[in-house]
Amino acid sequence: MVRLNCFFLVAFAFLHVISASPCAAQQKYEREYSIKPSAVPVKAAEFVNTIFKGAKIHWYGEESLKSTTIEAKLKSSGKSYSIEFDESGKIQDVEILSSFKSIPAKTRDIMRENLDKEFKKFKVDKTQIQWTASESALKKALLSDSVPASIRIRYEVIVKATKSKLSNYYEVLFEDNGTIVSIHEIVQRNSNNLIY
Amino acid sequence: MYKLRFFYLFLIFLPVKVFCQKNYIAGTLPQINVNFGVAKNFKLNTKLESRQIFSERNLEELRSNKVRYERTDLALVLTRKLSVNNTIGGGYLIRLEDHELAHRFIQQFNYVRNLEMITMAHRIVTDETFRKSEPASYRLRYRLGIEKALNGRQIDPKEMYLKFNNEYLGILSDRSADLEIRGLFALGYNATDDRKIELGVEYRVNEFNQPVRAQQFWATLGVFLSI
Repeated sequence: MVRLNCFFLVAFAFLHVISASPCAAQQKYEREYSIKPSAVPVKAAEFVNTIFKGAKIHWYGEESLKSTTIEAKLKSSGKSYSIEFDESGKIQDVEILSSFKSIPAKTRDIMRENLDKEFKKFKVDKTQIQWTASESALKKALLSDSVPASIRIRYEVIVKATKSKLSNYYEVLFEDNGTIVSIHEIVQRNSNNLIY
Repeated sequence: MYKLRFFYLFLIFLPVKVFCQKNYIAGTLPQINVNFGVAKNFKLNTKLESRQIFSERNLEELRSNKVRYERTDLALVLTRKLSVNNTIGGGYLIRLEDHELAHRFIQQFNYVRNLEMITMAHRIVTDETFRKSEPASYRLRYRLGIEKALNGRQIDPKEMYLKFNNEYLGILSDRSADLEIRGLFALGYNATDDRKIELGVEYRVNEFNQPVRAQQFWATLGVFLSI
């Protein structure tokens, strides 16, 4: 019995030694965490609380190599909002969850054409409308639920797409005329503990 | 923190529930998983798992609280990534139990999806087990796995998370069919994306075709490494 047990242990160790090969791991320093409302910059908390009175707000911090941002996530009047601030509480942008179909048809067609050029095939997974403007303009837009000309509209779209052989998720940012601003591949987390 | 409180309460009351059963085994189920990238889109998973029984009771017998070693499994599964969400794989498991070796062939398919707040995984497995002293056994398994970060929306390095698994196994052996249901609740620590440790409790029930069902209660320890 002891011998056979030893056999299993030795076999396990041996397999690891012969199979181990150097493998470059993709490391991306980015950390995301919940923040208590009391720890949120006053300016950011004031902005959100005055517009979305009574809404349940979830606050998150996101650290990357470049910066730290604060994000408020909430639902109000049937819409899902993500409002991003810098560390001091200065607003960066507002994102509203939407559907690809809600984008004007002409813009949507140009977006599709541009995606066709970038990917072999793609499927839209998530669409967000992004508003960037001054704090007062964004406040006015959110309170009136209309979009003044001073607001720059962009579309942030998550697509499941194939570039060469294997599909992946990509975050594609579009101008409001449908031209692509940026494409970022979304790195998938290791899920071995759910597979085996 | 209420999630953790619930977990601790569960751990405290579990032994009370265990010792009231007529047909059960309870013990520890440690496992170590090591993954290697063997080629583009291919991964080899090696798993070493053993079972130690701390308490057991069969029908018409008194409860025994003797500690005994039950078995050791060594499994190799080669998986191929079909798409960002899907993997397909096949493998072999060798088991040492009661001085006898059992051989199992494994085929599996996985669908894993990162959602806004959770990661969800579906796993479908078929396997065939052969040993000298018993008839061959064929199983069809489905497992739903969910994990959620304890802080924030995604599980980052040096963060803890909760994992829940629920698995259903249809078993066919010697023209007799049975069902086994498993539930796992674990607390995990993601040291890095390639190094995780999970501590949990697992409950299994089977022999639905018998008057009294057989139950298993396991304290689990899982180590997951990627090289």
